[in-house]
Amino acid sequence: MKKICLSCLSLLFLAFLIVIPTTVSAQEILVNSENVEVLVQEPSVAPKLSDEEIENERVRLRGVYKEQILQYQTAYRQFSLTKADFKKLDTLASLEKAIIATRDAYRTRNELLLTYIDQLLLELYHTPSYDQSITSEYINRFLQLKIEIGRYNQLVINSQDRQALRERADGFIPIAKEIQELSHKARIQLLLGKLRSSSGLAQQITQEVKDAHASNPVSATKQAERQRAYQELTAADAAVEEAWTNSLTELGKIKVYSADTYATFIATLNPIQSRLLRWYSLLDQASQL
Amino acid sequence: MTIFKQEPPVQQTHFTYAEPILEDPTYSAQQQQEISDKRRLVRSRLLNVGGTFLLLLGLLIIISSLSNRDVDDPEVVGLPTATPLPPRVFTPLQERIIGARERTEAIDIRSSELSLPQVDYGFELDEVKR
Repeated sequence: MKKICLSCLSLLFLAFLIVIPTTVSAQEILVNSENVEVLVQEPSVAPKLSDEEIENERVRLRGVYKEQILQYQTAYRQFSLTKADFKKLDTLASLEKAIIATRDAYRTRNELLLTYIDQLLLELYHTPSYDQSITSEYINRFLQLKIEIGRYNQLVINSQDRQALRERADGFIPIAKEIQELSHKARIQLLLGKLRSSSGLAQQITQEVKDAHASNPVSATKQAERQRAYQELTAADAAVEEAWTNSLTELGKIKVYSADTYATFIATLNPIQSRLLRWYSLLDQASQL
Repeated sequence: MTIFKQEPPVQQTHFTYAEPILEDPTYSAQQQQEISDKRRLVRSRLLNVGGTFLLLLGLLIIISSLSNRDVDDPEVVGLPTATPLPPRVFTPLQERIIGARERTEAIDIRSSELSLPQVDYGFELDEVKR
């Protein structure tokens, strides 16, 4: 009877030992799923913020990002050192240190990427869109990517051995590809939005300058000067449109978004910017006539 | 008989060593004239040399004083006085133009602040190069 009781007790103890970690990991999963829930609930439409609030948020994110870069660099340096030690010594102790350092480097890299995405999201939310549907699509993809990186980061934190870390390295490949491609696309979208907004404003102000002149009649000589200014403004508008056409033709040629294609494309945006600046200078002169 | 005995006696001149040569009135007047001429010549040459020396010295002083003038601070004489332009008064429309221009100029085409983080996207503990 005593033996039966003892064996029952030991079985209960064993069951307790098995159940506790399971409960803990279930709690972790619960916490993770809460995090995920929070991320999912992040709005895909622009939250209403004043210009000052946007700038404050921009500065805050920039500060966090810089700090995280330093943390990542330290962790990566530690990873390199422990990895070299492990290759040299090939002991269990050096392996353990290398595993911890690899995990830290992965974690700091993930946190850095999450803040980077937050910065891009802030700009996408609050920069005039070139194409609203494309901007919304990128915002949704970034939000989805944040969820994926959050999940991946939890897996990294839970990784205790070499095999698990190897799987984490494999798991990061699609995330890295997605983030690189999306970053290029989003930055192109942001630049197009800013320049298109500037072009639209230049056209609007041109009309306003003409309206202001119409309500302020001047001598025939002065009127001739105004007419010359209008011709120059029309030519500036045409020059900007021409630059837009060239740039959008180049955009249409991009099949794969990489660092090279990105660099080639943004070079076509420089003429748009410089011609817009000339347009505004002409507007300034015309407004004084 | 020697030839010396037949030698005629030395003729005695009318003056002796004891008598000064200048005592000869004709000779003295001539000599004195020459001496005074020479003195005049020497004096005039000394005057010429001294005059030239003084002239050169004067020139040297003038030149050195002129060259020293460059070292001194130049005297500021009559600088043109710039009349400040009245500040330009901007209309609201002109302010909008200037603001729009500044915003366009501020567009960072390279968007370096938002460039991809410079991190190692493919590192791992095991030696598998991707």
